[in-house]
Amino acid sequence: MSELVVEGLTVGIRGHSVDLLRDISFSVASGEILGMVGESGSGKTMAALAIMGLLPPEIELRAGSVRIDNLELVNQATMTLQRSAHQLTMIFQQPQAALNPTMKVGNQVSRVLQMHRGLSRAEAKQRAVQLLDRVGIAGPDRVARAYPHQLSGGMCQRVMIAIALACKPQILLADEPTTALDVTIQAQVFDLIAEVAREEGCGVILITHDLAAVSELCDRVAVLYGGQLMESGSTRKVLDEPRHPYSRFLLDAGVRQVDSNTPELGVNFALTGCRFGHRCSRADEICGTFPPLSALTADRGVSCHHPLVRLEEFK
Amino acid sequence: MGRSPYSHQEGANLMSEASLSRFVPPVFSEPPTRKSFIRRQPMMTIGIATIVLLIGFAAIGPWFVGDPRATFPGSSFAPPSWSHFFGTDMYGRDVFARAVNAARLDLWLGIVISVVATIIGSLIGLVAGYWGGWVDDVVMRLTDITLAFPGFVLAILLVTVLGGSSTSVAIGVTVSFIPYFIRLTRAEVLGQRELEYVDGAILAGNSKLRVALRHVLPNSLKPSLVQATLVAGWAITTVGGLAFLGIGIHPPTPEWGVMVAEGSNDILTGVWWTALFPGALIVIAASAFQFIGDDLGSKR
Repeated sequence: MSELVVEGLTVGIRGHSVDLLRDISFSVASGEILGMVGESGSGKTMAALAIMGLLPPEIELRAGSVRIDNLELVNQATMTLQRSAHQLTMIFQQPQAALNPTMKVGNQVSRVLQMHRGLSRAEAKQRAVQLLDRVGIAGPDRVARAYPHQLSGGMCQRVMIAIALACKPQILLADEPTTALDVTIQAQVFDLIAEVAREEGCGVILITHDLAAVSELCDRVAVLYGGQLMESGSTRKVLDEPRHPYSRFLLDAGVRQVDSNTPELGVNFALTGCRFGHRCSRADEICGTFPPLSALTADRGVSCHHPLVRLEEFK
Repeated sequence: MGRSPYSHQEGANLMSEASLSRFVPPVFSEPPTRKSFIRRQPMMTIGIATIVLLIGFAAIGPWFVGDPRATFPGSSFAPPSWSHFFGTDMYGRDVFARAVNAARLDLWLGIVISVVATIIGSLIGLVAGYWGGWVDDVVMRLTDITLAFPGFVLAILLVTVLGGSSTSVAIGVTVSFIPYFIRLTRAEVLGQRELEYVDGAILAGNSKLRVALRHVLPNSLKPSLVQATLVAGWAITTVGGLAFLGIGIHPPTPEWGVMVAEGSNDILTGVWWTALFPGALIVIAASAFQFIGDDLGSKR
């Protein structure tokens, strides 16, 4: 039973005191899907990059611990993250950009198999075709010999999933895997990821804007805003009874116009207190201090000084 | 009265049950015909054909023509004829035989220079662009310094230092062209290394060297390959130009630039063929490479 535990992840720009991610903690067990939601700029992708050890050079990891099966990935002395592909791997937003344009897709899959499974060239080729078949690609022999530009976005995303599977990861991180895809393909890709996670028994972090998909697929949800973890808990609980004003706001954003109580302002990273403070109708002086993530139940946390008590309260 | 087959009545008839089975959907536009390569890229075709022809001559020609260095003092300055296609020069040497032998040397130099400059330049550009930091700074400042010299002047300098032989000419001209490839490849690498497939390759556990060579480099080569065809042409003119000035390759070596230099003295006395033919060959060879490069570069 492998488990990813992220604790107190804090990330900032080198030379600036401002934190882009502040004290983010969550966990994913194997076979579980964690949905990570929040508007653009909320730090979802930044969190993903930090966990993958792919932060751009001008961004630094300031604090935090990332563990898989109690194995610490962050070197606490140098604050760098060392990770291997069979611990953690990632599916990107733009599948066509995430494949090497000058390499046949079959080779891209088999190369990973050669590296991580120690297969011979011929075996890897064969396994690659099987994997492409496994992710629902029709005519895998033919597709294996194709270059990425000859495939559709959905096909490329399936190839990406095949590559991720080839690593046999304990945790799979999918960063908006369907954003660049046709709506008719989105559901198929979500289903494929869920199916793969179940069958391979790997934990999945699914970053997405698609709340409908989250409610369908995810076991648990983490809501981010402005680099702050607002709320986390089981999908049913968070979506049906959000306790954080921002979660409420995010859920409502899809169904009604943003009301006048919640001015449309960008994230203010300079705020020392709650990052949602200047947009929140419930904010008062105490919201100028950072609200720690308080556990409501064993599984549920909310980072707010004035959590919603009832569903209607914020309306 | 001829009735149009597309009149309303006819259209209505088409929809009747009897004719429905034979209904052929109307063709709204001509299906796109596949234009031949020649029609689509005429300049490229001309360029490639010329180069192939020249290489063919250079490869097999020397066995069919006489000795390019054999002198026949009795038959000097013979005008072009069936026995001497390009005439003879001051020493009675056959200009055609010399030009064909020179083609071998000049084309060989042009191609080798451009290939070697592409390989070395791209690798240095890859290192500078992908590793960045102080490596990039050092490489780019050295490149800037090299580019501050006009290429031809730099080549003169290097060949003079290295001494006169075709090898030193090749080295000198190659070095003067390398900075262009460094810049082109580095610029492309800077863009490519930010793309997600590079992150993907790193995530999959590839070493940095492997990511650079197998993933970034092949995707960053296109501008350099276009440049390589242009440089092959420039290299031929540069080699010829150096030889014309008496630097590097010397008489009596059959070389186009050497031949033009020797022949240029004869023009005043009305002997035009000794300089014209090798000169024209330089122009043809250089333009042919240029045509290929232009068409390659303008391709989407």
